[in-house]
Amino acid sequence: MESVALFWVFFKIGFLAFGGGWSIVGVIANNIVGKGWLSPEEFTHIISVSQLTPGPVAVNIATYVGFKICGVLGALVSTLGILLPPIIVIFAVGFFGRFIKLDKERLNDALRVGASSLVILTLYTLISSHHLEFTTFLIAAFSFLFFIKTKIDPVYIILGAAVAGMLISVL
Amino acid sequence: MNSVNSEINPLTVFVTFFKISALTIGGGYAMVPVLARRLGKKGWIDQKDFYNFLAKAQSIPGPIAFNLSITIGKEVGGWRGSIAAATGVIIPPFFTIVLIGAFLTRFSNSIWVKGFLKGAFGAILGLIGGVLYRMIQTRKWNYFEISIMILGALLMAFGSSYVIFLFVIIVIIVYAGDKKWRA
Repeated sequence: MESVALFWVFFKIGFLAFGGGWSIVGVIANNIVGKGWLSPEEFTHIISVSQLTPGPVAVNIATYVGFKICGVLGALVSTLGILLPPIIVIFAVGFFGRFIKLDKERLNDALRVGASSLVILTLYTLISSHHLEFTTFLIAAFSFLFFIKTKIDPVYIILGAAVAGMLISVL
Repeated sequence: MNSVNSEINPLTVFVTFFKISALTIGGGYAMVPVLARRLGKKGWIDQKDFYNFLAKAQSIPGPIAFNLSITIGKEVGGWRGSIAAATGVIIPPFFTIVLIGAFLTRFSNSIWVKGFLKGAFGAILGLIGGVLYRMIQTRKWNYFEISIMILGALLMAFGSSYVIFLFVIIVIIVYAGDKKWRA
């Protein structure tokens, strides 16, 4: 039964995935952590791993959440759930696209506004569901600066921060 | 486009997308320039067409790399190519996650692993902030859009069960209100 519920959650959320994976992480957190399926800490581990492994972040998160809750079957249904919406929409556009004419540029603009709201929601959800320690806050601030001021690949920023976090907690 | 008379073998399509997916870390958007370069080099799709596909993929929900693989796969290899490309993109991350998940379950209490993931999480918070900053900076927003965006985010934060509904409303309002409000 849990796998059916997992599929349904990710299937619904899949329709919101515009403008990069970060738009839906907040909604996933609300549904998964909010329902008590995983603890906030477990969820942050999932996010960190998902950003450091190949593949789209949102799909990785879905796969990992499913795996944590329901093993390989959970991973499979969650991944399918989040990937079905694009397939459905691509088919639907193919069938109905000629009857409805939308201005693509305007649509992308509108989607971008909606996606930005979702990214704000993600940031708010992640910050409010945690007791942010000062070191985490510092790491976040430095990463932000590195991201907007330099051309360093974000993967290296995350790896650097991870090593820093490891040293801080061990020393 | 020459793909109409010469469809590329699905296996070749699968291997190509599999390799790109397995070797690119950093999310779907990290894969976009790699896809553009590699597919261009193979002569499957030229830069201009690629960016048309990108624009289309962005107006469809779902991970950008996955949407690109379905549509470009179809362009170069028909529906077989489409399936081949999509599975090629998804298989590497799926198995990586399952393997790492199984591994980390065993070591999740290690102070090293915990510190590592905690540091990474801090960086991710900063990066999401950076993504937001860029989203807002790279295009000219009018006051109408900014107010809708902020109001939308506030409503979403307080009514988290209505997020999908709110998202649809935001998109419709901005789409419909666009002409009237744009300066």
